Parts: sequence; C-alpha cells; structure tokens
Amino acid sequence: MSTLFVFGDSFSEEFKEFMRPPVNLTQGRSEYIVNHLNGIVPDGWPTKLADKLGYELENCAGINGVKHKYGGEGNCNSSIFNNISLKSEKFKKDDIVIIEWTTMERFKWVNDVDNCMSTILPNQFDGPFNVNVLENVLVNRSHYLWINELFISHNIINKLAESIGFNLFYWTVDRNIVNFKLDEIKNPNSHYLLTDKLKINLDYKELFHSLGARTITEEVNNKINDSHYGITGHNIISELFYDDIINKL
Amino acid sequence: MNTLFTFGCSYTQGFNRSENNNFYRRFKEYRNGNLPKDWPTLLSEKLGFELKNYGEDASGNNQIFQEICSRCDEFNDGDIVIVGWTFIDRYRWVDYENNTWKKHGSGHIDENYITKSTHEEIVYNRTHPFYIEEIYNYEKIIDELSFNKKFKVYYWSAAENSIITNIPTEKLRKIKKYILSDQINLENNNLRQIITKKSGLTINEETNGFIPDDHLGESGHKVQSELFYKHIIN
Repeated sequence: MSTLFVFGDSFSEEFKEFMRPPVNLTQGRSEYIVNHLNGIVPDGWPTKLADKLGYELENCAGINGVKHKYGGEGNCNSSIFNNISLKSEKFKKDDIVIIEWTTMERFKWVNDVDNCMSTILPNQFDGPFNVNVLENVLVNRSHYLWINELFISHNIINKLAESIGFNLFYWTVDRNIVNFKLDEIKNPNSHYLLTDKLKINLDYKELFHSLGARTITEEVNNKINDSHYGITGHNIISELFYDDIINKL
Repeated sequence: MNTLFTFGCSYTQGFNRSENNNFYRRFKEYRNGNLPKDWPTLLSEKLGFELKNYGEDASGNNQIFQEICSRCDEFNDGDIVIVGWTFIDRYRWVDYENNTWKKHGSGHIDENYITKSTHEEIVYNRTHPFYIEEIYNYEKIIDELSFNKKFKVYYWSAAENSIITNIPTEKLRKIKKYILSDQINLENNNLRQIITKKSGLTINEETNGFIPDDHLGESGHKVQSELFYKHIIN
C-alpha cells in the first residue's frame, strides 16, 4: 500500500492528538471536541484525504513532527524541512508527499533552560532572549530573500521526488509566500496544489474560506478562540486537495 | 567525463576564486605572481574529473546547504560531491539597504544593519550542539538523493573540533561518507592535525610569518588532496 506523508505546522495536525490523556480543555481544539462535538473526534484533512485515496497515512506535521533536537512542534519552516529530511529515506515510488510551509517569521532557537530546539512565534515576547532579538529577527525575516531561500530548498526535495518517483505537493498558510512567488507557484512544474485557483491576495486560507471553510472560532460563534480549522475547514481542504491530486496523478 | 562538485567555505573555495582576498593577493606577490593549485583542483586532476567548485568564503552551513540545493540538478550518475561543513556560529542576515545577504559569524560586524546585542545572542545561541544535529539532518536528504541519483557524496568539516569529530569514535570509524573517518578524532587527530603531521603547511608557515593567514598553503593543499584522494579511492 502506498503512503501519504504530510508535513507542516498545526494546520496539518489531526484532532485526535488533542484528545490524548490528559485532555487539556484550555486547548482550543480539545474544548471544541469536548464541548461542541460531544466528544466525537473528527478526522483531520490528512486522514480524510488518505481514506479517499486509499493510502496509509503518516502525518509528520506539527505535534507529530520531531521535537527536541530538531525543532519544536510549533514548527518553523526549518523544522518542517528537518522533518522531511529525517523521513526522506522512507519515501518510495508512488507515495504522495504533501508539504505545508508555515509563516516565514517563525524561527528556530535553542532554549537552554529546557534544553530543546524551540520554535519562536511572532507573538512570543517571553522567549528565551532579549525582546530586541525577536523584533530584529522578525523584521529581517520579512524580507523576500528568506522566501527565496525557502524556494531554493524545494530543489532538493523536487529532485528526490523525481529520482524516487513519489508524487510531491506543496501548499502554504503564509499569504506573503503566495503573493511574492505567485508566478513560480503557478508554473505547472511547481508542485503547488490548487494553482489554478490562487491569485494575488487570494491565498490558500482565503480560498478555503470562500468555499465554506470556517475556523473553530467561527464555527462556535466566538465561544472558543482558536483560528485553526473546524470540521468544515478540514472537509473543504481534503476535498479540494483530493480533486487536484487526482487530476495531477 | 564525470564531475567533482565541491561545496564549503574558504577552506574549499581555493585561491584563484578569491581575488579580492588581501592575504591571497599578497601570497601571490610573495610567490612571484603565481598561486598554487588548491585541493579541489588537485583532487579533480588525480581523479580525472571535471571540477565545479562552489565553495565560498565566509559561508555558513545554511548557505552551504542552500548552494547544494541550488546545484543538485547538476549531479549525475558517477559524479562525486564533497561537502565541507564550516563553523556552526555562522549565519546569514538580510542587508535591507542593498537587498543582499550578509555573512556573519563570531567577531566584528557592521552595526549598520544588525545590533551588536542581537548578533551576539544569535552567535551564542548557534554554538549549541543542536545546530550540529541540524547539519547531520541536512546530510540525510543529500544522502538519499545520492543513493537514488547514484552520485557519491563525502563530507568533511573545517570546524575540526565539533562537526563530524563529535561523533563517537567507534561509530565514526564505520561511516565512510566522512573523509578520513578511519583516522580523525576529537581529542588529538583532527584533519588539520593530520595535514600538519604530513608536512602540510599554512600560508603563514610557508611565508615564515610574512602573511599571517592560517588557511593552507601550497603544501597543505597538496596533502589535503592526497588524503582525500586515498579515502575516495579506497
């Protein structure tokens, strides 16, 4: 049986990960399941897609990514790349690999206190460094050269896909990546998903929203503050990706 | 004809591609207008391979990996790729004014585009061994591409006292992709020490201190190319 490998940040995570004991109801997705779905755990888009395709799923995104030495589960693109690299020996002909790139501002930083490689998010003012470092890094990382660097790293993944014969697809939750690289993304050889639907200022998240995908916050009328997708979002993503992948296989 | 690809920092770049380097210019004058062949050139000649040397001075490991990603389309069956990792504290930073990358490492920086305190925190953070793990992680995808595209890949490190030599000796001895893995160790036998023992000198030593550059001179490059050749052929 072929395998669907999924890499990315929390937008590619499964709901079931948030119901592993001990369940933390201050976590948006746990609260969503317990209080709004009567404890019934929905499938995330990777599971739905794997089922539609008839593929085994190996989800290496976000919370399922490698931690500690290689980067935190919040996942910056460097950590996501690490996860891809670590799994690369398992890719085989006809597998499908879907890579979601996260927002460019996130970066890796060794946390000496916890002795781990952490991922720093833009709102993390309590990080293990002077706040000036955070501000300087965030400003610097907003330059397009960092996006260019990410796209250069595509080359080795693309080449590996070509030489092994697995099917490779990218997408991203970062609007800046879509806006800066729209021409490259729309190139038929780019491996990006849903390229015929993307436009300047119509990135993946806006596309999903226009088709009915709602965040948890939107689904529960602001009773939970969580910008990850609820059931509607995961359904839309799995359907869109399935149709596009089937057309391209 | 097959190709030898070399990637790394100034320890790979060699002399002839570094014309702006003041020490190398003085070295050329000292040698009456000629520069010796560097180890990538000597090695490619011994192997009978065409050479594509993509080493660049002051590169950090992220940049070296990026260069490999940029060039991996060129690798073919039977080619040899040699990657020379460098010091882990090096990193890149965007110079907004000129829209270019600036290469940084420990030491003096231009404070026009990064504050001293930010630079120092980044450099300090990057000295953690987890950044060495990042290098070994890069190797996994390069190795996988090498296996599938059927080119050979070898690694060595200009950061003699951390990358590769931090692998436990017993384990290191079995990993042939690391050049001189059968000889090097962290305590007393890194690559530079082996070159010195075989009479390979630095520019500083070859010019009797006239040019204070600790990069390898003619004899050093010759010894390095011979050591690498023997490892690859074996």
